[in-house]
Amino acid sequence: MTMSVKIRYFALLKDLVGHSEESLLVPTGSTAGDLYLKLAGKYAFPLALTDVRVAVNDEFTTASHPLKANDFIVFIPPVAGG
Amino acid sequence: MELDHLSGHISCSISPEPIDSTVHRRSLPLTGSAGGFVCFEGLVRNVNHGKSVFRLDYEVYEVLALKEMRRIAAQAMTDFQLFSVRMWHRSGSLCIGETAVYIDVLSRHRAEAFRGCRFVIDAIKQRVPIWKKEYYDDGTVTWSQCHEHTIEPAL
Repeated sequence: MTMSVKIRYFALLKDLVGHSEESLLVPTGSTAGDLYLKLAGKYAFPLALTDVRVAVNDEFTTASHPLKANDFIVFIPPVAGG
Repeated sequence: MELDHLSGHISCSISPEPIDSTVHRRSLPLTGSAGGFVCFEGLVRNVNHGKSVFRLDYEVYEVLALKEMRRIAAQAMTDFQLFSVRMWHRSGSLCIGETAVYIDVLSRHRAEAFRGCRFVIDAIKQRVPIWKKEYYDDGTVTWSQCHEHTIEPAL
């Protein structure tokens, strides 16, 4: 079984992916961390899972967050505001 | 002038337009109880990590950035007994010398205002999902990870 989730990319990750949003099918029961590892392999992200923060549906969460169908996911590389 | 009903004011914005601090200074939510006003402006500097910078772009995850900015403001209000916390952060392309971030706070006494403002800028740098792409004079471009490098000693 799979489910569709939406991912938005920012900054370094957006440059590596080449676009800012995409929808992907992931296995039911996947966590946000599972998804990151899959994407990091596909796009050669230079950041380990421990180097990014995770947001699901516009709220911070952890890599162990279980994904649901139609979730909106952002992986947050190290920030540099201010 | 008694404007204490305005105490507890929080305002957080992402600005695609240049930040004009003189405008913000005029709209300060003054209260008669406030004896301390501290404002901090972060400017675009022409050197970072030893390389000459000529411009930069800020990219912002706006929904979550604003949520986190409001949480930082609420925490500062409580921890430093502030009357108001306001912050504006730029998005888009900036030149050297432009204001990247403007923060101001009001408090009863100066000590809380200095500490509260310092807390807010440090928390923005560490927690808010904003990224900075730096364009160098030598033609290279990188996404800065300055939260790892620019933590200054506390006051």
